[in-house]
Formats: sequence, structure tokens, C-alpha cells
Amino acid sequence: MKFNIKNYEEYALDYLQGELKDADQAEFGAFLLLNPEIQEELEAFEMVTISPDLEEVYPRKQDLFRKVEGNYYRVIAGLVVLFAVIVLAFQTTSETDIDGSLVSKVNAPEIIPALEEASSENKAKLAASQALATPQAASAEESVAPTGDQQTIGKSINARVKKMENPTKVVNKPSPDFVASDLRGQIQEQNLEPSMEVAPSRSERVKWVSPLVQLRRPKQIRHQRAVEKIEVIHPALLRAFSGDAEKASDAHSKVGKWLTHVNLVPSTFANPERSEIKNKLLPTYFSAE
Amino acid sequence: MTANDYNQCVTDYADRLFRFAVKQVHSRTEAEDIVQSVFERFWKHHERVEMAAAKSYLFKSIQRASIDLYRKHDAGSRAMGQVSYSQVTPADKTFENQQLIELALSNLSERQRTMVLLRDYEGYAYKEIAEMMDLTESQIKINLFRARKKLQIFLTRSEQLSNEIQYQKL
Repeated sequence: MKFNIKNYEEYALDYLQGELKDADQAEFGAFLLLNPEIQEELEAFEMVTISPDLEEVYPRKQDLFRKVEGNYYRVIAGLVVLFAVIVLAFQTTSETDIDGSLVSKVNAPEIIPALEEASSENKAKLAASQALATPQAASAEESVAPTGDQQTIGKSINARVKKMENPTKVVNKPSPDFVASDLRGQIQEQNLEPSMEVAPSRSERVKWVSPLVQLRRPKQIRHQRAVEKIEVIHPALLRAFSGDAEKASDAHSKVGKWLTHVNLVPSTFANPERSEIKNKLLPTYFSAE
Repeated sequence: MTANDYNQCVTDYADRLFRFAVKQVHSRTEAEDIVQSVFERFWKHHERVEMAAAKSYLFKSIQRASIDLYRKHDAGSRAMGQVSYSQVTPADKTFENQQLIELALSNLSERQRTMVLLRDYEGYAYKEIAEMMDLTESQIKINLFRARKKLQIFLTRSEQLSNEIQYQKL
């Protein structure tokens, strides 16, 4: 038999409420017939149930409700963070990317004319202009070229100058028009030649460069490009200012100041190859200082 | 669960939880505090609680909080479990039946009282009560049967006692 004296309590309520299956209901009745004391107990049993007092309510329910906020705050916060990241990345690009510094540095307009001069003329003309520089500068530059690593650097100079002849193909390079106009402005400041064009605004000069691409650029590549840049612009700068300067050392000093101003020299010479560059590329400048 | 769901739970269950808590701790003030703290905790975790499990979560929380409170206080300082039949005096005859039942409820053990409340107040199935109280269904059925028997005996004797006292007065 399924029901006994030990487990009858488990089924008693269901039996009294008629919730047992028909077979079980009959079997439980048979069990009660065999156990009259339990039958008596259940016959006296009154189902006592309690019902909730619905008038009793929680008095501070309004305090429990929460304001339902939309996703506006999250969206705004996300936009702010995105904007901050873009600005930060752009600033980082401007400060660290030497290759792009001539474009994005607004405080260094002086360096651009020299770059333009180097890029607008062909390689032969550049060599000729170097020869026309002051004897002191020329001798200094001659001492730069001879052998070893210098040949490699020379190749890179050639590649660089070729690149600069077609600047529109380089993402981070100033356009020829812009460089030319900026050069004019600079020359006008130095009273070297009359001005023909007006310098473009910052928005025209600064071109969009993907921050991620810039940030991923290895430091060594940036450094190498800086070296190339100095090699190209240094003679041109010397030539540009040697005519105005009383002494050759003054011209070198000016070149050095401009290079420092556009942050080329400090970032470059923080590199392990500092001494090599210092001694071979800009000897006159450092001796002048 | 969203904030809207949470607010829906407040609407649906706040009063019921409050009544449940009042029956458990026999103090409206303490029941209010318990309900408030339970809903605060519920709000903290509302994103992790499914709407379908919300009711069970809330009643379980109330039950635990009530037990904690009950254990914290001196059992002798409250009526729970200490009511004797002699407390039902002739003056108690004016009690509503509901109040007498509450008195009888307080005479049950903590576990039995919870089962009766969940079954009668909320209409939970045996299986659901078993899950909420971490017991087997058989244990729930047996305890409920015994609890109802206790209630019946208490109420019957209270009534007999009242009748006797009234008869003596006459």
C-alpha cells in the first residue's frame, strides 16, 4: 500500500481537498478504514486558512519607484569620450609625427619656405644652390657627404626629394600651392623677395590624417624621416638666410633656431643616433651655438 | 530586468510583501523597513534578475530579512511563538476573527508560518514554496498539515476558553 502511518501526513491535505488522483483517493480511504484513529483525526480536522487584509498597504510605496532614464546620458557620455579621443589623437599626431609637423605646426611657418624651396627645385638646382651658399656653409655640407652610412642617407635624400616633387601623392605632405604661398609670406617677412600671394588659413593647411595610422608609425621611421627632412631643408635654409646675414655663423644660428622652433632637433637628438646627426648633418649649426 | 519592470514589481508586490512582512515580524514599522531594504537591494541587482523570477526573489528576500530580524531581537520581547491560550481574555472576544487568526499564526514556528503565508496569501504551489524555502515538496506538505492542525487546535481552544469565562461571569 502506498500510504502508511509514517507518510499519511504528506497526503492528508490533498485527500481532504480532493486533489489526489482517483486511485490514490480510494487507496487513502482504504488506509483510513484500517486506521480509525487517523480517520477520527481527519474528520475533526477543519481547514483553517487565512486571507490577506487588503486594506493594509505599504505606506511609502512612492519612495520605492525609480526614475526611468533613457539612454540619453549614455549617448552623450559616449560622444564626449569619442570627441576627446579624436582631439587627443589629433594633438598627439601633431606633436609626435615629425613627418607631418610641417603641416600641422602653426607656430613654425618659417620652416616651410625652405621646404618648399627644396621641393620646388629639382635635385640639380638644390645642389647648385648649396654650392652658392657661403664658403663656411659649403665646406660644412661637403664634410657631411662622404661614405658609409652617408651613402645610404644620400639615397634616402634622393628618394625624399623625388617624393617631394609629387607631394600630392603623400598623405601627410603640404600641397604645392600651400607651400608656395607660405614661402612667399615668409620671404616677405625676411625682405628677401616681394610677396605675390597670401598664406592660406590653418584649416587649409592642416589636412586630415588618420590618428591611428599616425600613432602606429614606428619611432624609428619617424626618426629616419626627420633626418631626411633636415638634410633637405638645412642647405636651403642656409641659402635663404646667408644673403641677409652679416656672418655665416648668424645664418647657421637662425637655421638652428628654426629647427628647434619646429621641434625637429630636440625630438631627433633624443634618439641614440644623436651624436651622429649632430656631427654630420648640422655641424655648423652646433659650432655656431 | 529594466527600470520599468522594476517599477512594475513595486506596483504589484510592495503591498503584498508588506503584509507578508507584517505577519512575519508583527511590527508595521519594522515591516516597512524590511520592505524598503529589500527593494533597495532588488534595485541594485535588478539588471541581473529576470522578470519571471522577481516575485520569488522578493518573497525570499522578505523571508530572510524577517528571519534575520527575528533572530536579532530577543524572542521574549515579542509575541511571536509565545502566545498562550490564556492571553485570549474576554476582552479578546471583541477581536475580529482575523486578529485571532493572527494570534494563532504567531503561535506557529517560523518555518510553518512562512509556509502558511506563502500558500494562503500568495497562492504558491507546494513545489514553488519548496524551491523558495530550500525544502522538499513532501516536507512542505507535512509541515503545512501540521501547521493547520495547530491553528485549528489553537482557535478551538481559544473559543472554548472564551465561552467558559463568559459562562463563569453569568
